[in-house]
Amino acid sequence: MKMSIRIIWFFLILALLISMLLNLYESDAIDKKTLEKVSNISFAPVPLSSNDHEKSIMRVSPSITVKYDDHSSVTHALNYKVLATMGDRIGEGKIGLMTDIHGKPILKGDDEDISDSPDGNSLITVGNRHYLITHLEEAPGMLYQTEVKVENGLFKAVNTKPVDLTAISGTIINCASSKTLYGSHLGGEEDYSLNSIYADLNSPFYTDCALDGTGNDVNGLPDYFCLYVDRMNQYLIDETIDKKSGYNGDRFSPYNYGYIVEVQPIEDGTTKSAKHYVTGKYTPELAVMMPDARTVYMSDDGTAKGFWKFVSDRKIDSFQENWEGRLYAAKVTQLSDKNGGSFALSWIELGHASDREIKAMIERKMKLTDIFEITKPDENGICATGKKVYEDGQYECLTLKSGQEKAAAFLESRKYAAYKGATTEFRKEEGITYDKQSNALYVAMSTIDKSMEDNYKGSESANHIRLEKNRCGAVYKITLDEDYSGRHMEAMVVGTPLHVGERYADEYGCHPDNIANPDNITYIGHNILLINEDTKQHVNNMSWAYNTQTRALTRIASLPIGAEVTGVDTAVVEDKGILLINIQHPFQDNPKAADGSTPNSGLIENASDTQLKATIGYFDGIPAEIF
Amino acid sequence: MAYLQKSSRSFISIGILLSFGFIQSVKAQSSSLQHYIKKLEDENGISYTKIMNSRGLYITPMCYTKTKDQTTKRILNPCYSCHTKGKTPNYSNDTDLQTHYNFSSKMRENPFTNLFKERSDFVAAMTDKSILDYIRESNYLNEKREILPAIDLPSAWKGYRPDCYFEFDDNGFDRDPKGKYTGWRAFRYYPFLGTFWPTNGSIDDVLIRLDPIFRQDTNYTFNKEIYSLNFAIVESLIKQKDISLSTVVDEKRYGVDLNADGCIDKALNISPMIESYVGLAKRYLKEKKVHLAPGLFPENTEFLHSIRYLDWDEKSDHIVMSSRMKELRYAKKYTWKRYGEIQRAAQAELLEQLALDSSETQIKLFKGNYEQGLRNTTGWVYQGFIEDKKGRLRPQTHEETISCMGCHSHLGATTDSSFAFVRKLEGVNKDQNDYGWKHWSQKGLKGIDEPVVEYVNHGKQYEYSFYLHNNHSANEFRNNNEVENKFFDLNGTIKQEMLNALHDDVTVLLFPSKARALSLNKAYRVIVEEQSYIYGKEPHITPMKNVYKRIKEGELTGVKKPIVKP
Repeated sequence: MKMSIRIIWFFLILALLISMLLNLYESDAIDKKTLEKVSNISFAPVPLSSNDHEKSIMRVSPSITVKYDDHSSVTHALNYKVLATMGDRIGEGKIGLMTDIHGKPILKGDDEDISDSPDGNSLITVGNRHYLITHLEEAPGMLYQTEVKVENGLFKAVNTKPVDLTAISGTIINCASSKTLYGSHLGGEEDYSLNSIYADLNSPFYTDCALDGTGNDVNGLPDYFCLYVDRMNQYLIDETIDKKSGYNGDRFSPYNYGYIVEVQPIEDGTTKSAKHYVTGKYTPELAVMMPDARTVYMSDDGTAKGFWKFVSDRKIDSFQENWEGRLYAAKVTQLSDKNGGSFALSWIELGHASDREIKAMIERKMKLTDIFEITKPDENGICATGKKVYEDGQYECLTLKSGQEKAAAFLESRKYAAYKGATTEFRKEEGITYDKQSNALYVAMSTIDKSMEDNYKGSESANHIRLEKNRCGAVYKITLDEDYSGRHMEAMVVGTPLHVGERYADEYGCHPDNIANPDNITYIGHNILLINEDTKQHVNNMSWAYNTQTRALTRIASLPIGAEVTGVDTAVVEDKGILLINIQHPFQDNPKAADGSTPNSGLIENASDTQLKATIGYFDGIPAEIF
Repeated sequence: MAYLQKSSRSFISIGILLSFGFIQSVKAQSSSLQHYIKKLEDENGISYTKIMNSRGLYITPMCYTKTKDQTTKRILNPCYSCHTKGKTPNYSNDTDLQTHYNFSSKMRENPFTNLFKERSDFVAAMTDKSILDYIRESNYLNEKREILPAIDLPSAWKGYRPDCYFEFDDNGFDRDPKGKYTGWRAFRYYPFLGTFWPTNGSIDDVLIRLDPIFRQDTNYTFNKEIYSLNFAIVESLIKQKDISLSTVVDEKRYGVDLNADGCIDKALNISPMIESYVGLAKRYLKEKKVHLAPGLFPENTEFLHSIRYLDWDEKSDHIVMSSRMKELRYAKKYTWKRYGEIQRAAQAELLEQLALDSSETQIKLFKGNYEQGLRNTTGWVYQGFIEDKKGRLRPQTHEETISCMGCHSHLGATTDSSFAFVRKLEGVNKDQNDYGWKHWSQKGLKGIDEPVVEYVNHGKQYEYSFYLHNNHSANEFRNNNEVENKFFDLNGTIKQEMLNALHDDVTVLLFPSKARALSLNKAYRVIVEEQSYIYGKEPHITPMKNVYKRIKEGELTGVKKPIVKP
């Protein structure tokens, strides 16, 4: 008994000392903030998981150290806190609840439907209120607006509701996001399959959907295009969709999805939203606005994709429904194939338009064959007429119809980019972010394979990119000129594939002290680029802090096994720093060893139903002064 | 004060002692479980936790069938029986698996090596008497009517402990030796296509049990009428059709509009539009402690499925169920999944492949373990018992349990992950040939009409005849010569007179001859002795020829027009 009392006393005193120490740090930090400028920040590393327990939980960097110009430094303890779990009731709403265009819950049977896929987050302050805009990576896509406050030193979600998207007829697969200079949310509609080649009766790829809500074609077979049309229709409830006329209806059009969506929270709790058609239609992961308030870059997820730049005619310094400007597609000239490669970048102008003009075209119920003539190549892969273009796994022979340049540029951006000789060979292009210290853009290529390899499938007519396959992917740095135009692209952080027999290879496909399949990336200042993974090549998906100057890579989070990192964003709320991070689909993906085996299958099998829930959370303890 | 302190101290001491004792007893229990499992592992040369063959054993041996007949060049399609479009809320549509072998690269090598084994010598060496003696000895109940696999299990066992006595009343309700209802109820159903036809080596039964709240009135008292009515309600919901009642029911007694005609009066049937259960479950539904939805079983529904050898009844001159069980399979709906959750789970893989632009199929993992079973994504958990070397029923290993999961998850053909209940016979009168609520041992398959079902582009078809037409044999391996000779002439043309006979009595097709039945029993006995279930447990005598040893990447079945249910 005596012994145990002593132990309790020991811990009590220890706790007191720690809290005093932390308080000292805190007060010191506040003082510093007013006196000294932050010179650099560094996170304490998270060690690699060493046992099943560590593999199964969220582990974050234990502390962050802020150094100041006077060479002093302060260390702040960090913890991971959950802000919300999908399906939670928060104030008047339930986060993740799927609703239709009338705001009514989309019922499946008699039951409501809750999304389990939170993605991009933007925490935005308007006046005295703080709103978190969260993407649901779903079809139909949705965004939730959650008001957050600081209560007892912790972030608390106080109210949530779906963002009203009726004005833009809804969204699809809302993926990653960023914030504009003036504090609105920009998100990508990562639409993989609403391609006009399946929608137009006169296209050789036409798909005859059952349109019965099942996602099947008329023969009862499952089909991606039909699935997306059916899913969008659950939101739109459009009974006028005409299969014989490009699947256009009064509300639905395949041409209305695959753009950048902007949402501006207003202090009164309402939102304004716009779809920026002038950014082009493809499979955008997200868009990032440059400091000139005119240039916006967009990435394009998937195989054989482009890289995009929009330049507005005027400065965009507040929420505007109607953007107007020029759309460009990148053309790369490979300079080196070493270590992820380097490229010279040029830009091919596709066209000039305003959102309003393109929206009007969509409302006119356009179809692919109004813009291009399309045929299939013959059995030898030769196009009898037109230009051969590889897109979405199909070879198309395209001939532009006269006077359709503008429609082609904005409604068929990828087809037209390839048609005009731009590069459509990027593979798994994911996050992008801007670094103002270096005036550079960073782009994550989740994997370097397929269309980024030399002459993919033996029929790349352009074959601009000729790299060696790297299943671990890379983050590229794009150097910008004074007009924020990308000039040079070079791999900066390249993952390290492991070979059988090497250290870690019995559990990892890519070296665990380096990145694997980078996805979301966020530059947070002070030369720190956060690189977040969506990988099966690491036992745990990780978040990394990469110092762009010292090139040091620090592991700052290790997620529960099988989960993906999404929704990384930073903000300051009521003088409290916040670094948001979602845990998407925990215990689902099965990590692979170098030989392709899955030695952690047992751990995935062991998961309880509670462990399978997706959460929106944050690093607690980040000092506000660093943002 | 002093007294209080003293007494609280002694309370604490007693508490510590008690909890110490409790910890010790828990330890003892878990060590007895470990000992039990270790013993089974040693005796049978198996592992309860390690994967000895493959994690992909949820893919069935039937999926390795060669759909292109080597001699006739005919394209055969047994695949449609499982791989089809599900009916909402089954959002799975795996019809594409009729056209190609979409296996993970690790599963292209057929792991079911038993299929290629020669068993003729073993079968020839075993006498009919010895196999009949073996299968006629129950490995489930002893003379005292105790349940053997339940006795064998240590007290720390957290999984299902068999508790059905196979002692049924006139309406299929099971009773324990004291005459108390166990909740289990047997039902008769049209055996599912192919493998489960007795002519292929096994005969099975299925029993269902609902949560106690479905068996009780609002005073928590067992009420057989309430339980029967709840079964009819569940049947109507699962089949999404009207279900007749045996007598006119006064809806006022239950306060539920059974036939959903808008007024509480009399009902002769249950409508799938019904909005409530009856009895205590009605109250639970109102309190949202239990759910009701078309196409779904309520929480805590259980199934028991025994797989038996083929015994021969000289008197009736046909096969009957053996007393010995090959397997006892158990399923429980441990949690409710909403339609949306089921849809997400069903379409997740499809959408993941689209996002990654990858046609690579991953081996699926199922959460759980051998003790508490493996879970699927629709809220069910599966567990099983199988014969050990000596023929006693032992829990299935983790790897053996994986073989439940292919059929009980993501198949278009299932209804809330199950097969049999939606195929239940609907006769409500005990004397009717198609009376639905009896065990096969009370009323067998003999004389049951062939079922009729509808397919897209084919209209209504006799279900079994249509299968023969598409597959030219009674199973996916096409190694059932007896049925082939019986139903097809030498040119492979189907014999119309046999189909006519089949329309009136399913056993014309489903029942094997005595010789075939006994040979298949013997052939399975080898697998028991070897404990080699994970390498394939389909009884056969000569090596299978119509099965791939290795499937080439991108191999197609040759089926051009899949057969799909509407």
